[in-house]
Amino acid sequence: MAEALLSVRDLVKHFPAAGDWFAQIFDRRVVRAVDGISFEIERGTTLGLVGESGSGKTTTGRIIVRLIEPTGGEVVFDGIDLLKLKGRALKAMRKRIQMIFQDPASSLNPRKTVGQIVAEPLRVHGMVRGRALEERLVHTLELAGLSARFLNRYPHELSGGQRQRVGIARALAVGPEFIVCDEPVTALDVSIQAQILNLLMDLQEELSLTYLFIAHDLSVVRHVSDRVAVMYLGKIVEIWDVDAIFSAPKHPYTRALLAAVPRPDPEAPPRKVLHGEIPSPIDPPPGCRFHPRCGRFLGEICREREPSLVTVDGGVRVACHLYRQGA
Amino acid sequence: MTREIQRGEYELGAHRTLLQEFWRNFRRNKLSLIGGVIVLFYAFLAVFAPLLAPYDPIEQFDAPRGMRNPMPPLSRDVDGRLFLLGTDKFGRDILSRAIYGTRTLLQVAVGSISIAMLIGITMGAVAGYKAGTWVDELLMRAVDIMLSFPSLVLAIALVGAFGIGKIKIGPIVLSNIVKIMLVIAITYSPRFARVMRAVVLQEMAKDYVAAAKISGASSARILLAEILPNAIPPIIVQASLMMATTVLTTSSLSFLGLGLQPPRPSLGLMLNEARDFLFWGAWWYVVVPGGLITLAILGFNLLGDGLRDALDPRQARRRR
Repeated sequence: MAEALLSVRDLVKHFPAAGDWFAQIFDRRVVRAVDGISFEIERGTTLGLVGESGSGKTTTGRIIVRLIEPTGGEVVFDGIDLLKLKGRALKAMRKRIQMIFQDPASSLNPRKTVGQIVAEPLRVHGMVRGRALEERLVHTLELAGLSARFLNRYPHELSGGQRQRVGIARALAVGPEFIVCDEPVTALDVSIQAQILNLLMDLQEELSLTYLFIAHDLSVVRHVSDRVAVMYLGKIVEIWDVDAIFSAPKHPYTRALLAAVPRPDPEAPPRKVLHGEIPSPIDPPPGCRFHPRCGRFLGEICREREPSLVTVDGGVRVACHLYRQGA
Repeated sequence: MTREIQRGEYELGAHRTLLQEFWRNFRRNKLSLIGGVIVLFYAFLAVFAPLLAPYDPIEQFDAPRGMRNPMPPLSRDVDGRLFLLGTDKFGRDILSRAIYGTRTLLQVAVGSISIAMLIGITMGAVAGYKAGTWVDELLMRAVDIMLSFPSLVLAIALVGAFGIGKIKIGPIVLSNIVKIMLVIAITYSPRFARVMRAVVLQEMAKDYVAAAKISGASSARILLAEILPNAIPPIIVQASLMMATTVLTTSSLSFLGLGLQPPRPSLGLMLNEARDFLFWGAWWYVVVPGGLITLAILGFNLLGDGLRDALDPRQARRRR
């Protein structure tokens, strides 16, 4: 196995539940968006991070790119503790870690042309200027599958797929090694999704990129990931290689998620669907967080003891009392 | 505007398309076109006042035998000079005074709105960027306090605090007109602060700001290069609508004797002088300055409404 480029250890992020500083004096409750998660991503691979809305996957991605300061934990990138970086060192690190956003309509400044948007990171870092800048812009756009004639277009003149390509070009401009893809195809038409996914995979190969791929669409994750981590209410419940997790899911939540994927077969048996909403992360259920919705509820133990991630057969790591170590 | 100086022909062409789009939207609204024409007319009067005014605005002329100042429109003085809009109580040409008064009025309005924008945008940008912190709280409560006074009352109180006429602050001497601009700017800056804060809050939530942060851009760069261009349309609309209010406030202050001081020609002061002659039938004395003030307010309001419709993206999309 290759070395881990990024490793996340016991990452915690609690947001104050109350709105402004004044309300926070009286209301000290917190939203446990991310509650102690650990994973590693090897160089040149893709980790798919799956979960329902509110499971904390986007927060995790934003902590890694240092948009959000975590409450606790460690993020080590290529041997460097990311969370301790400040000032110039942080700015230098930003060239190595980039992000692709979910909604290209919001992630592109409507008052800037494509050229200005893609040039912005290059200008901030003072990497190239003048003639070389324009050449680099054209080259970066071509990497993302756009031609030079898009340079003077505004985002509103582009289609959804083209906009997302601009977002990809912006992320690529500074030559990063690691990219957090935060649901990069969710906002796109299904016909465009495959193009963008293939583009991301080609780029990974060509530029030996490492991805953290956040999504809630399992078929998308299956297509691009090498390994998959499943999140539920701020915790990772299962993490394994993509093929194994799809053929033999262990955690009841993963099973429910997989069962919820629609199959194009009218004869297929009725699906087991999860009932209820994801509980509030302000006051998560005690014990196993999934127990109120779990189809394999064991009783007492699920309600009282929080399961930790354990390695069971074949290397899958799963947090469930069904798979106690050695059992 | 932003500090982003752009290179290469592609950017030039692109800016034109945005302007063209704005013009396409703006042109559809006939009322806003009328507003624009009125505003242009005032700008023309203000800029070319020395060429347009037939006489010196403070020169006094003597009425011919059998007549006395104020003289009605189309009268002539002892030397046969024609006064198109008549004379005032001191025998000064009302047309010339009105033209110069318009010029002063616009000077004060443009000056005070510019200062108010500078103060308000800075306050609003800082408050929005630091939203939820004590800095935001402090700035916005100050804004609330200022907005809780009726603006004319606040302006009168500020004039009272500064005193009438020019003021000295240490080695700096501010002329009366600059002082009035400051007073009005302080009175109206909270409105710009609110608009700016709202825009900053709204834009900060968008991912392009997150992308700029991830690119390593500084807070100043994010505010100036990313957010400010998006704040310009609502600020322009606000400025245009505030011009109308400012014209009214400036004239009111002068009318009350707290603004521009005689003999400087001022529409508000002219109205004040005309009061005494209203019942003598000197209608031209009131109608000329009053009409000019009213028309200016109407023009700026129509223009502001039109700009809002043309610059507001939601409105624009609905029409397309």
